[in-house]
Amino acid sequence: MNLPLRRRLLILGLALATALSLVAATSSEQSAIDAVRALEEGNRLARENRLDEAVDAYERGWDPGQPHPTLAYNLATTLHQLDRLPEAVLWYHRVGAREDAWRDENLFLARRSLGSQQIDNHSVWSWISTNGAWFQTLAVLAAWAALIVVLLGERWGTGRIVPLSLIALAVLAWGSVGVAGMLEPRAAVLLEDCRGDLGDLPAGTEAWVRPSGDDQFRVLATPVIVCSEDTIALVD
Amino acid sequence: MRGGSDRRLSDRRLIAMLGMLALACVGLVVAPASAQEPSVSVRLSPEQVGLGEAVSLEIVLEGADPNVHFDASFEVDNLRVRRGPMTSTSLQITNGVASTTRALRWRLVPLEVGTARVTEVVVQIGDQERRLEGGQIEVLTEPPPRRRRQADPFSPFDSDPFNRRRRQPEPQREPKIFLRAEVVPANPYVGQQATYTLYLYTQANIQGVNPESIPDFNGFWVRELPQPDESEPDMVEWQGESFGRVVLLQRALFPRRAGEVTIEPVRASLVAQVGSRGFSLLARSVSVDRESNAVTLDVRPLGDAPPGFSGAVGDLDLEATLDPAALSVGDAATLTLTLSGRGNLQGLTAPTLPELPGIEVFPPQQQSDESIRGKTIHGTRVWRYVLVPSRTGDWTLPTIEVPYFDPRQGSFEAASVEGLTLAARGATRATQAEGVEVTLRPIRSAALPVAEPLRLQPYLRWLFALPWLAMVGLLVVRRRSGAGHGPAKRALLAALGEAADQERPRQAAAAIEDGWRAFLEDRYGLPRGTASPQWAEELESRGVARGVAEDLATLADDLHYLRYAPKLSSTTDLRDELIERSRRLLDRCR
Repeated sequence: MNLPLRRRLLILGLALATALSLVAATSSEQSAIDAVRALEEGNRLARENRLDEAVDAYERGWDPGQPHPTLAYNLATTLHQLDRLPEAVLWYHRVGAREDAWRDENLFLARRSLGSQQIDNHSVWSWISTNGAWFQTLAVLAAWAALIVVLLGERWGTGRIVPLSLIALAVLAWGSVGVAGMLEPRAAVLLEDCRGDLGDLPAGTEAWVRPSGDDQFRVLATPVIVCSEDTIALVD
Repeated sequence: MRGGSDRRLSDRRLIAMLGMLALACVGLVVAPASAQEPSVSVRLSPEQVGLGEAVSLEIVLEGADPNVHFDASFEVDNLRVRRGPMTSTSLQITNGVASTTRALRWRLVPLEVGTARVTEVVVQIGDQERRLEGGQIEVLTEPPPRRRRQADPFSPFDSDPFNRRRRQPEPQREPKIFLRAEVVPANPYVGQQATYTLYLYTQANIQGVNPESIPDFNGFWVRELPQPDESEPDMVEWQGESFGRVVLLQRALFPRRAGEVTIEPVRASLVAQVGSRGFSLLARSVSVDRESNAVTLDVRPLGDAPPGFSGAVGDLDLEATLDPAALSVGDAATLTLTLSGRGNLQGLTAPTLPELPGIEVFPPQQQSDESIRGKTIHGTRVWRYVLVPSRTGDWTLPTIEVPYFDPRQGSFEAASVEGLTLAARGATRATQAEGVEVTLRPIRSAALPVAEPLRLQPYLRWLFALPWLAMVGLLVVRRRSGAGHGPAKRALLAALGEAADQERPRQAAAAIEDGWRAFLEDRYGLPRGTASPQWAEELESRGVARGVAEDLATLADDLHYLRYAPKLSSTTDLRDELIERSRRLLDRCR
């Protein structure tokens, strides 16, 4: 093959991306298989009204890196039936952000039963973090566009502004997610009552928290309440 | 106009009726009640009256059960009820058989000359209702002469043929009869029950009692107490003499304020049977008026009341129930507080429940009841609170207290309950704000069939890192291969370096221009001999950005100027400036 250097590099990059995707997909597939097995096992136990065992089965199949919405939903609902409502709220959140009428109704019932509160957080970092996937996708697209422009820009006569802009966009988008990950509050659910010096929060409260050192989290409420790590579970 | 019994007079009638029933026993042998059907008659008299004279309407019931309800109503024409009804009850014993006669009497006055009528007489006897004809009278302008009783010339007893001296009647001995009112205790606390009793003390048979005035009991909350269920009167000693004593009236009084309060006397007309004791056929009836004593109470104040005290006085207990004790969130439990005991519980306010976080407490429904045990009023006050837990949890209700004043202790006490628990579990159904009923959805039997969204998260890092790796690799490769600086570019840079060393402007300008011509030919295929004014057009046609092409043409003009300008004394600055511009332009040439 007597291909130009640029083209060879482009082909090499695409090949690498494909290989990595295949590796990741294989890993994902294995995780999905485990989740499906756990789902089936948990469902069987739940049908036999062995709810505690069903919870254990569901939890064994949970992979935080590969969330399985149905597994999370069934786990949440089983906890709900066991009246372990704060945990149920946590798992209803872990079902994911997509629309799910059953999840929403059960979450409504759990919230109503708990009488707990949902503490909103309106920081820009939370917004970025919430939409982190989109930011990262944008960063990836910008990086690849920059690469293409660098490879083919001389031919297209795009100059340096375009690739530099794309590179800056990619870095900014990716970096903002990273910074938000460090600065943004984390969505969490209180599994137990949190009694702080400045106030109490009941179990089941859905809040935004930041690590506060010494195995504690600061709940971004008004006033800020510090709760021990044992009482809080992060959604993600 | 409609006549009938007046509520205002019910007390009098009650006294009269009950009093007579009791008094009839004094010194009499009560015969079995007649089994005959009771008879009712209506009498309107006299038959002729003058304007301004009174007419008497009398409805008489004979042979009825003395306890049966007896009432009447009627219509009048050309008459007006001035007074009534007045009641009377009498007991007659004829041949050893006792019979009761009860009468309702009204005083009527005619309105104008002519015929006056009483019509549509309806008599209520127990559950029965009888309709009777009334009567009519003639109303005259002047009162008619009253006829004296004519002597019967054939009767040996109607005249006094012997003109004998009539025997003067023996002076009538006034029978010992009196009324006495008592209140126990005489110095109650505010709100404490004091029992008012009106006794009739008598040594004679009493045939009728017609009370004329009853106390208003101002300053008291009053409850009527039933007459003692006694067939025999008390035989009591009073100032060394024996009397039969019966209760005519009993009231439970609850003073409203502290201080002295006087209860007015009771006045009554009584018909007593005097004469041959034990021989009723020979006895005579006399009418006597009596008045009881006034009673003054010294009502004591309660003192400083504790918080939450709303006037309960007596001996009270508080009970509480919670139903259900375990429920789902959003469902309602009923907390029932029952305060009961001796005393008047009317008007008490509901106890304020302690705050219960997580439980919504609705205002209570109240219910009151009272009963009479002996002479004591027992009250019951029930409050029902609805409790709705708004979250799951277990609650132990704090102690609930109702302060009250105990007259026996003379101090404030508290009726209390504690230890009630409520457990709320998760709701499995509820109604959303939009009115939609929501029930707990079950687990899903299998993963949702809907397509899962493509999850890029695990791959994003790699996808993001790859272009950078590629770009770095490209840069390295270019560096190693010299692709970053081609021969033409290196030659031009070398020419620029050479020009910088030239002192003479013409040689410097020639070196720079020659270097550019070589570069442009190598990079863009521009022939070396192309005139510099045509560079812009030619380069632009070869894909060079217009700005770069125009700057190159300008650079060429300046080089030409440097090369051929005859009057330049010092060209060093211009040369350096052209070299620098050339370097910048070279960077812009891709």
